[in-house]
Amino acid sequence: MRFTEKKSDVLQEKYYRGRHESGLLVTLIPKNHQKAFALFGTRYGSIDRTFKTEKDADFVTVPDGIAHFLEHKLFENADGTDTITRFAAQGANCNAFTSNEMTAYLFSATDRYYENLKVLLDFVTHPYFTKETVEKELGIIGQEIRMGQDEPFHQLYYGLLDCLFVNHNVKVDVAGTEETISHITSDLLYRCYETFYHLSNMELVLCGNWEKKKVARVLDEVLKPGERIVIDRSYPEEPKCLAAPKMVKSCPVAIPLFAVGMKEADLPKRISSFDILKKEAEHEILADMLFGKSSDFYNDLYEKGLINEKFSVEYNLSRSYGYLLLFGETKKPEKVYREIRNVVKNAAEKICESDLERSRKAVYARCVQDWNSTAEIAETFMEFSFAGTDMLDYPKAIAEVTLDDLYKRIEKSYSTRRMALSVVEPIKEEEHV
Amino acid sequence: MEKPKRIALGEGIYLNFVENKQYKTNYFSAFFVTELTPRTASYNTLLSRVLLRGSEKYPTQKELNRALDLCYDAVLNSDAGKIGERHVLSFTLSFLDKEFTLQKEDVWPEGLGIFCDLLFHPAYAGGAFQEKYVKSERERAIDEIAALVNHKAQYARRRMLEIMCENEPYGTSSLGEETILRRITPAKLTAYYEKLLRESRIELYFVGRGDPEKLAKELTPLFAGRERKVRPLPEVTLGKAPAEIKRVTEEMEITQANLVMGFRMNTTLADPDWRAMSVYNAVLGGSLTSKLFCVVREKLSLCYTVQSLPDAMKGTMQIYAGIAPEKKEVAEREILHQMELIRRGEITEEELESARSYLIHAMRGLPDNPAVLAEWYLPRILAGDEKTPLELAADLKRITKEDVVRVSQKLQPDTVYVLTAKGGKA
Repeated sequence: MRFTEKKSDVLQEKYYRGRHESGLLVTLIPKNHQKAFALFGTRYGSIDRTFKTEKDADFVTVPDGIAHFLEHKLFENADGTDTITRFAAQGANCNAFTSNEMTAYLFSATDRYYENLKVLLDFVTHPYFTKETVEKELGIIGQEIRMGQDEPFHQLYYGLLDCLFVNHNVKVDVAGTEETISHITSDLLYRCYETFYHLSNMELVLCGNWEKKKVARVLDEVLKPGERIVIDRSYPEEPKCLAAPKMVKSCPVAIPLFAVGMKEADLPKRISSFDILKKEAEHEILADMLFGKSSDFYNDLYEKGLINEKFSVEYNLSRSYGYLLLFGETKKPEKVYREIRNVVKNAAEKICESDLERSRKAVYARCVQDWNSTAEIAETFMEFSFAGTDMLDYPKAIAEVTLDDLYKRIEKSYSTRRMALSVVEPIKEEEHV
Repeated sequence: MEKPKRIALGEGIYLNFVENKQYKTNYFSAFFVTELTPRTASYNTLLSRVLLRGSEKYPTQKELNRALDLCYDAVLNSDAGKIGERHVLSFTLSFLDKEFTLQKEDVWPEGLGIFCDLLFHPAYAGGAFQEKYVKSERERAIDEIAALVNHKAQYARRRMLEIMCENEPYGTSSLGEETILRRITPAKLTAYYEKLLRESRIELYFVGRGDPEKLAKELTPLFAGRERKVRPLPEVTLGKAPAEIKRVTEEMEITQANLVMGFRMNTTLADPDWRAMSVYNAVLGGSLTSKLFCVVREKLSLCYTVQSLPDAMKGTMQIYAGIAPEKKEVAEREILHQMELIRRGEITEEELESARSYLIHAMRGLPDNPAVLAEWYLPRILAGDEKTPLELAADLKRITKEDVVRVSQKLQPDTVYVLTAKGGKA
């Protein structure tokens, strides 16, 4: 197979990319670390609830949590061997994760890279689901779900998504509920697998001391050329408005936790790869200028004792949704919320050229740090790639942001009408009686 | 990987330099090592917070954070925590190497300047820490202690240790105690701080690109330029298992039960048996091929999380499982049964090899991450073990089944703690 090289002088990084004849897109990112890392992922996550391929007559709607369930079950093999043991016997650690838009399988190894790569490609391309193995998993994932239920942050976060989104599946818990997963069958798992786990819908990202030739040899050996299948994913229409402005839950916590979200309204159907990066950079810089540790907002509220050092801000952006997310601990959630809304309302007056340059430096430094560990590089690279963008181009997008761009971004994306508050408060004593 | 260069800068002050060219960020830290008592834990906790509030040059957090932004978002942090029966105040700085800044600017001189300014020239008023900073950070520290309840698994593990080691220094909470914090005045905190600079052992770590000799010259006047009289630390106590297992169950509005079992390993880092004990732990519940993971989780579907967590500095081990409330007896029985199987020598060649490989892989990978590497070295330096991860990996290769079975006999059960749903049923 042929690889093409791409370089970034600023980052002093490069990668090699090529499509294997099986249809799989493969990226090699050379690094001299002790740990080599491999990530094999598919564009399939918890938001894919209703879908069909050109071979299917009708759409199917699957139970919530099935993508994550499938991820667990793929570790079992028809011959009874256990995938974790196969890796462990070769000194590698394996794992997997499922998010809204992707499922990925991975290992890290300090030697025997290619034997481990074989195991990774082999187990992911050979599903084995039966009634018995599905039932066995219910207890394990059931406890994983309860662990999440008992985690106040989990309640806070999904509480906020429930406010922000009317229909979008992003608000659904990736693991589902004990009720929804009870409807999962081996047939449904196969239907999901056949739809999303074909090589043209997947990518392999390798980071570390990998050699192109040896990688190609393993791919030739393990992967069979597959057909290109067109997936028809049906997502519900999402209005620009909120589902609810506020959600309050009670949990065993000491001090109330709050999460504030602002729903993105600027989601054009057609947008170039670089424009997505640019938009992301604008949001990241704006969030840092307005709410970062150097902002007037953060320091004023900290001085007043309204927030502590756990306060944080981030921007989550995908092609079909986006939101600004702020969270922290406070004894006065409503007051903090009012202050946040004030900043959003007057955002354009609060930014200036010198703050932009300071935040640009900080955001640039964070983007350079994404290139530190092989695991982080591969995971971030795949996320960018699945979003149709390139991680290597991000510094350029950060460099290009102007103050004028930020004014336009505020105009398009900032509005107090699309803001919501989620609070997790301590259980009141009288409720115990 | 080479041995870290260890250079004495002054009485009880050492610079440990480890070269690392994999990361784009360099890492520098100062660890102030004190004994572990409710008092040191409380004072270190408050001090770590107050020091971050400002210095002579950067009297407010805003000025400080803006200066750090201009150093390419250099991250300066201070923390206080337990390492076995020691309490450590740490100050860390991670910063972009000059190779990767936009104009090849070197942010180290400025970064080190801010670091030392905060550490050695706090924003005093009238010769002491400012009242408003001490007061507000005391409130935050007390809130932080209260907020420990938020994360149920960690909370349950802390409670188990408090109960198990109630009469030992190790039972002290790493964040200290509210009653002590309430009594700390600016004058008392200032006196403690000055004593800390004078009397505590100081371990410095630099992991990244740099020249150790040059660095030592640069750091000596900054760290060793004051009067020192280092106080020796007390011996670590091993503790003793009670004649009868202590059992405590507490309830909360939760859906899952958090089972934590505490054991005495009677083995610490300083003990030659530690290597065999770490393999024992990987076979039992420290890895994804361990008996607990394979049986309690995979075969019996009792839980999502089950693991054994040794503290080599103290010689204790915890086994944690998140289970359905009605399954706690079954889970406990099965965990004890798996321990019994190891004592009887029922370990397959595959289990042993996977456990060793798991640990060796972890050792080999350590040099990849500067902060993790420094935190790995610190307890070992304190225990007098100066081996590198690779040397340790070579030792682990030689651990046999007999070694593992032998050390398994040293474990003694001590405490069983359960944090469960109200009424014990979900």
